Amino acid sequence: MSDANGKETVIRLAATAGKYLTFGLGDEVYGLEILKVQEIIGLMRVTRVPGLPDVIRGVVNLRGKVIPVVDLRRKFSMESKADTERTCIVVVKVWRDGRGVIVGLIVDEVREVQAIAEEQLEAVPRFSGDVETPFLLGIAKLSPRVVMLLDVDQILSSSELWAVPSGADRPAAEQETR
Amino acid sequence: MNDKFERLCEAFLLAEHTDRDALTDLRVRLEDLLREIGAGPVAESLQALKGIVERILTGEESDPARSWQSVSEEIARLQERADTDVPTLIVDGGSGGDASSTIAASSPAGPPPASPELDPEILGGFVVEAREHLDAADVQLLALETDPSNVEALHTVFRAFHTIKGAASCLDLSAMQALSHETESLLDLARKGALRMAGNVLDVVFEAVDAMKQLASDAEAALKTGRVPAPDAALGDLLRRIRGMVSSGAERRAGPVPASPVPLTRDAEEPLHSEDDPPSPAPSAPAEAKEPVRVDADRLDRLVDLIGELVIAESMVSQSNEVRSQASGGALSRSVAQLDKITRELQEMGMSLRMVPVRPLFHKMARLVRDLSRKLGKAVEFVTSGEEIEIDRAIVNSISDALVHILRNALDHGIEADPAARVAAGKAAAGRVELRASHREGAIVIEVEDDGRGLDPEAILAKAVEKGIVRTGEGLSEQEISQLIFLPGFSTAKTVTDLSGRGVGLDVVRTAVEALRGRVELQSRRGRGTVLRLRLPLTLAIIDGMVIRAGRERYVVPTLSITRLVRPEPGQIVRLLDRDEVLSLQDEPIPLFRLNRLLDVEGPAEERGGVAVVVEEAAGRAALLADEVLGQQQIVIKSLGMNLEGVPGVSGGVILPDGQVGLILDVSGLLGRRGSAALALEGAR
Repeated sequence: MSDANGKETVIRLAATAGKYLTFGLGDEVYGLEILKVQEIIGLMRVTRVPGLPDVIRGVVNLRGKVIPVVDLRRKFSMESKADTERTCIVVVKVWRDGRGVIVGLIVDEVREVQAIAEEQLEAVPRFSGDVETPFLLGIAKLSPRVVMLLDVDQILSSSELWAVPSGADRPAAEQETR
Repeated sequence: MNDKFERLCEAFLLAEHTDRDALTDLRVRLEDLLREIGAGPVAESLQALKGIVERILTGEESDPARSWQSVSEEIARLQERADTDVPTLIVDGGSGGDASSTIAASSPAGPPPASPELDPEILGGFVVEAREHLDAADVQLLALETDPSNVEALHTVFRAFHTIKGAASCLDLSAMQALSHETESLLDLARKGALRMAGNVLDVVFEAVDAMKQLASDAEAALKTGRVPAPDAALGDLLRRIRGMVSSGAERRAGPVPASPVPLTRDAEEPLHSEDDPPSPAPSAPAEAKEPVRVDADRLDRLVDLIGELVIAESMVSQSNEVRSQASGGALSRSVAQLDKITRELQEMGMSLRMVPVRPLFHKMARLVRDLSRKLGKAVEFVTSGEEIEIDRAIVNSISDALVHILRNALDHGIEADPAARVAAGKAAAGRVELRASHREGAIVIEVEDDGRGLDPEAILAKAVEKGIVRTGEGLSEQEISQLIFLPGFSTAKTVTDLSGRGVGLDVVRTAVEALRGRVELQSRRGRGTVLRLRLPLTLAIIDGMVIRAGRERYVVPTLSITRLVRPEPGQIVRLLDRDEVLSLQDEPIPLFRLNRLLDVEGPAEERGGVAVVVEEAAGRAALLADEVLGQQQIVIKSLGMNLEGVPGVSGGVILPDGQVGLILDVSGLLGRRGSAALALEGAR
């Protein structure tokens, strides 16, 4: 879904209206497209995987399937905080190279599912040099607060998460080139 | 795109409206397809479908079950429309019109090849069967080569072509039909004694088998891409040559027999031969006896995965505190014991489903050795044993290339080029290469043994020095020197031939085998020959693993790579310089790694005690110091998801009985993480 970048803001805004799962992270409230959310699970013990970027806290067992979990606090460079009983994992499915990938996102608390209409939306202000704006689909003004709508595909496709050397098919590739 | 559409329809029909995972998939696919096809009636229907899916996902659909019903109807309508209204969807359906011309010129009344409306299931089944027949033909041809008078073998080959011809003509596969027809004519002459199955004739039949295999693959590819590959020009040439032989053979038979036998007459003869079973082990014979059922490989894998999950779930139940606290002999514990037993049986059954005999692989190799020995002009006797040994299907696929490589080495470098030299050394003039499979110590062992020259330590050493792999050969034993050939960049082939050439060394073999969690061993006696031994796990999905603990984390080390466990005495661990440590084991220093430090495990490091797990892999030997060994267990390997598969030092995950994820340590990768010069040297020695 890399071509999403090139689309005009206007089109994106219209397409952004819809239902969102809102969650709290620090003092802010964020929204995730409900269409991408698979389920919400309580926080369980996360197995750390050595050599991975900090942003990935580790892996957990989702009913027999091993999925990576991303610590959104670390992703957004927020100071880390001890987990509480409200801390949970939002399981999302993102697309990468035509393959659906299940990833867990650790958030402070899940709030509610909210319908966001087009007129509540605002385009993302452009800050020069700000690296985080590409993660945002838009900003919704829901009085009394503002909800930042996250583009989950963008968050999880940023290079740091995939900086892991892809080693699965290396031997075969070597054989070809030599 | 047509393909995408069809897969989408399929996915729709398989999905349940309660399955969020499937629904999100469908939504993304719809979007994808919509982007591609643009406006039109099809796009509108797809848009409507997308709306329904989204409403179900967001919970806006009041009656998801009913709207899902309407989705199915809509899909059926769409499929119908797509069938009649092909141009809107199919961009390149590959009519194959141009492909037919080459064949039509040389084939008797050739209808157009592989028409797109062919039932994929029938065609797929045909390809599978054709391959079986062709493999059987290959085996029998090899038998004919050693004994041209083997009538049974000849009949089998004839039947293979005859059967394929019949099916191919039903399916309008004109190239296959033409080729099988001509080959059949040729074989028929041989059956009637007009031709001798040797020399040229045999070669051309071998060629025909290869060409048929290629055509079968083409037909299969056409199924997937909807495009029929243009036939090879060589095919026309082959057909002409066969025809030439047929007519010259028929002439020799002089007169009474019609020059081009009509298929019908042969059909009449057929029952005579199909009744007598070939006494030699034809691959199809045992399979027929057991009535196999063809199952899609993906579904089989899914089943095995599910069984793996069941095993985990079962052990979570049976080892939970609630169940364990129950009095033994109680109803619950009896039921759990029963569940445990059934689960294990199911697991074994599941694993056995993935197992296939190595026979087809060995037959493929027999053919390879035959072709190679001719190419090299070396007489070679090829012997196989243990063909009935079964091994994980996935392993068969991945070791095939490694075996090809090893056999090439054996023939190219192992067997002496000059028969006189062999006789002078007290060996038979013809070289002997053996390919064996056997069960040994819970693993599958595949050995390739040749009775050739054996490794030449001096040549190897000289080469290694030249390549800069080692500086001098000082202090290296012959065994150690022979290990050098497994290092990357090492290949003793003096000239790059198209056989062993390509500059690829045995390191590729080693990498492939170790990727399967297996091992390569080598034994060589100078002047007497070489044995290469591949030690492979029975299955890929499950491994025997040692669960160890470091700090709060638990890790699994594949048992195959562990050579021993040691509780180090004080003084056995020696610190070199300021940080590197070695474990001195029978006066041999082994690099020691404290897992807590190596893996940055949280929690206080235990400086005293612990268990050293001594492992050995391509990268060398090492001792991993863990806090505790928790035990050995069968482990179902899980991918770590995303592309975490590439994390150095970790080869996968495993669900431990308490439901937590443990990591499987990949020893080579781990050592690479701290890969120091000292280690590389250790590996080389």
